Amino acid sequence: MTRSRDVGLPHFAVVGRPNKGKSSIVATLARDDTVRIAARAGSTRSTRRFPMRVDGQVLYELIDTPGIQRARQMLAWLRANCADAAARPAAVRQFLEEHAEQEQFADECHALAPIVEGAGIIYVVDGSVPFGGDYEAEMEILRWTGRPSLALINPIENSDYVEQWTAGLGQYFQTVRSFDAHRAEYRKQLELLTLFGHLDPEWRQPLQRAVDVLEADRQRQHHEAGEIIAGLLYDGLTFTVEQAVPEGLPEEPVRKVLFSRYQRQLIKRERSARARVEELFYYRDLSKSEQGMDFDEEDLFHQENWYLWGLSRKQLLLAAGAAGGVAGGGAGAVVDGMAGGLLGGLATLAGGISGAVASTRSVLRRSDDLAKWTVSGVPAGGNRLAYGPSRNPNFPFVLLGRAMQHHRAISQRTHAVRATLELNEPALDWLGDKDKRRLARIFEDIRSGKRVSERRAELTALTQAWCQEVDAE
Amino acid sequence: MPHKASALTLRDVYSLGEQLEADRELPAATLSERDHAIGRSCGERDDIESLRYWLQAVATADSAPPWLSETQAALLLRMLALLAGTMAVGGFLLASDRALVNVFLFLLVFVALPLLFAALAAGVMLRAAFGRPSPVSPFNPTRFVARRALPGQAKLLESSAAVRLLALRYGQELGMLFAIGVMLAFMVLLAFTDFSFVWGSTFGFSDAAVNSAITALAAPWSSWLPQAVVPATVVIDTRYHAAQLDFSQLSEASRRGWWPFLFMCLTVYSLLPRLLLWLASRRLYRRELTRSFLGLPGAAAVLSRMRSPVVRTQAGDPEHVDARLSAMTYDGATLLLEWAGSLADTGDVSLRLAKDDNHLRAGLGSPADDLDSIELINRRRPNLLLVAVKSWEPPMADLADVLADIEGVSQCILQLVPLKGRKVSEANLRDWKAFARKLKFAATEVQPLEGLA
Repeated sequence: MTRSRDVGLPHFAVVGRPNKGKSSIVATLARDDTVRIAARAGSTRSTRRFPMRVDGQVLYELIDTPGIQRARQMLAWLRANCADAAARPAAVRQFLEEHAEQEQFADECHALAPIVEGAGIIYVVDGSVPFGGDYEAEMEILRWTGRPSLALINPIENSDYVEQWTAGLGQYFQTVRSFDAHRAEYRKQLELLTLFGHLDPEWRQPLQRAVDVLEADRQRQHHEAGEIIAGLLYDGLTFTVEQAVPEGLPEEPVRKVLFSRYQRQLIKRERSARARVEELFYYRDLSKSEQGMDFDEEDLFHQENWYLWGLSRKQLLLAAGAAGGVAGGGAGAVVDGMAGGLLGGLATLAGGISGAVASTRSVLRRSDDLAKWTVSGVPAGGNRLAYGPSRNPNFPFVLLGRAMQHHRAISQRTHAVRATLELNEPALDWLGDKDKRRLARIFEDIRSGKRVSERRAELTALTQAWCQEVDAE
Repeated sequence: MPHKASALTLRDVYSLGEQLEADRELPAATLSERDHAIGRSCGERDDIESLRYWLQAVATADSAPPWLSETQAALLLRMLALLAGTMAVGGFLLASDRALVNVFLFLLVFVALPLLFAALAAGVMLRAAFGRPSPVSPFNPTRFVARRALPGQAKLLESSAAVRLLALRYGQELGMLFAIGVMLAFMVLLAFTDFSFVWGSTFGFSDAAVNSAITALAAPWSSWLPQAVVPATVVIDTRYHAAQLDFSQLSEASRRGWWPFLFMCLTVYSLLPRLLLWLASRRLYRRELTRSFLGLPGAAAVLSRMRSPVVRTQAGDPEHVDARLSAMTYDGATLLLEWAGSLADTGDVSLRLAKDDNHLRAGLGSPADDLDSIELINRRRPNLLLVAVKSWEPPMADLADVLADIEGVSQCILQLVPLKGRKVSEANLRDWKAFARKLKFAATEVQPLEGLA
């Protein structure tokens, strides 16, 4: 049950009755969504440690404990076995030693062992239910341990009795705070950690360092999330699937397959970006509910990409022009040779240009016929069908809105929440007209391949700034 | 991990892009640990060097080198450009049996055309510098070298401006070497052949107009190199008519009076622009390379991970799930056991449940008080025991202990007292039902206490 701990290392035992949100508080502060938070009381049956490590060095440790359930019996034992107020901590220690093997007081022993070892006490109560005298026994026991302590009122359902609790707890604890483990924003979580540091002067410095590191980590999370979102937008704006359909073959089945492939790939890409952002914020197994994206088939479909022998129209024209140029230039060179060089290569130049122009013109005029040619029954050309990139100007805004909404929900959610993440509200209402115009320009440039890397960098900087703003709100 | 500082190359940009793309598949925790470990061994370096160090540490073995490296390909093209310049001017000058050189054609082919190409290159360079690179034409010979600057076969779309500028840099270099080849061959041929420089045109330009044009062309050097300015008399003397067959009366000075001017034209209008563009393209290419390298999506995140500590706040051990179930038990009958003052705010509800004499209390005082109530119940042994509990509080082992000590009672009803003004929640009901299942009574029920104000 007991483990030797680093001397001077701040560690905090989160204690209280069962089902008062101890595990929720630990899950939120430790950013750990693997903590089992059950609606059923008494789901925590043993201590679980949550060390905060920075490059392997532990700065502090939170200890989730089982709920104290037999406080009155324990207190009675303590009173019976300790007459001297100065010996109270020793009496608690003695109780643990004598009852360590007893199943009856297993929870109490688990909960109090870290405190006896030197942990600070974080006593948790539920602010949505009334304060009662039956709580006094456990508070008295905690006082007997002689360890620095603070009380947290966790308003699980509402704050109806927070004031009552504040008054009640004030008799036993020097510091009493209200902390909603399910809704506490990040800044409040850091404030609480700072407060933990005030329990013991020796703990102040490591706790302050922990807060600084966590703040920097938060910045990094937003920064990387912004980059992930910008990457998603870029891919959404440029993503395309295409397929060549030889002349004479039906296009409809290919269109169907391509459209479904386009949708699948884009949805996959969006989900992978979501998973990445969740991972950044230390969510490992989050259930989400999100409306699907609407894809307009007509907006995405392109068919202007004609091809012949695997060459696009542009490539074919270029090749024809080059071939004509070489042929014409060759003829001109003969004329130059006959003129004894006095024409200075002008005939070669003129011949080359004329050959290129004539060849390009004839390919332009006859290209459609050429596509119908067959070689051993196989058509030489046909149409290249493509879906994407989307021409709808709203499309990237929809993608951005969904991504930003997800980021906002993830970064404002605490790890104690087990409910499904609902992503159904519009999320671009915070975007001003100026930003919308700027974004539209960026999207248009990326779509048309202008100043792509600069525009992408600009987009990344914008999304990063918006992600950072979430904590400033 | 030794690392030799060298200039950033397009290959670095490409390799970084590939690596960042591959990293997209790795978990964030793995990336932070790996990158921070590299960052710690990297020490204090600037962004570029840090990224290159990182790349060297994480990249898998490079692909096999191409059969012709970028340097070798560039050397080959440089030699070809020099040779092409030499041969072009050689062919041009030696094409006439009478060693006649049409100055206008010479200027058109070896000065005006290269100048036009230089102007085009400047335009393309400007576009690339402003982030709008035009694609490198498939027939551009510099593709041959630029392609070898990239590893593997894939295109590096993100740094297309850098590729464009690299092609331009080689283009200017080749243009410069072509001009040098032209100038060298021009001088060598002049030393061995007695050329007659003449001018003529079907457009019938006057001598004065030609003289003015020549003077304007020579303006950049006329003040400090007057020998390279064509005198008006030479312009008049060297006018060529198609019917003119005899050039014997043309003085030596007139016939050869053009070459210093032509040489300077080659230097100033053909070589110098290329030289300036080459210098500009070198600078722009370096700048673009740095920008592309640092601006690759994911590069900033790598730097951030390298420089940020690895933070872990999650549990050190996996959660221990105790097989032991929540130990809670109740019972009840005609006797009412009020637990922990649960009926304190409910008025006379207790009277509805049981007579005042049958109303016992536990859970608030000392364990001895609890024992008193237990003993009383055990003495009376009622059929039914009602236990009133606060529904909003979880079932406690304390209560279970008390109920476990009760004997001779077969039926128990747990009366869940709701919080004032509210109903008993589903979750609380579930908790208490679970608790009730563990009790030892023959029959146990859980009922919310109805009819409270």
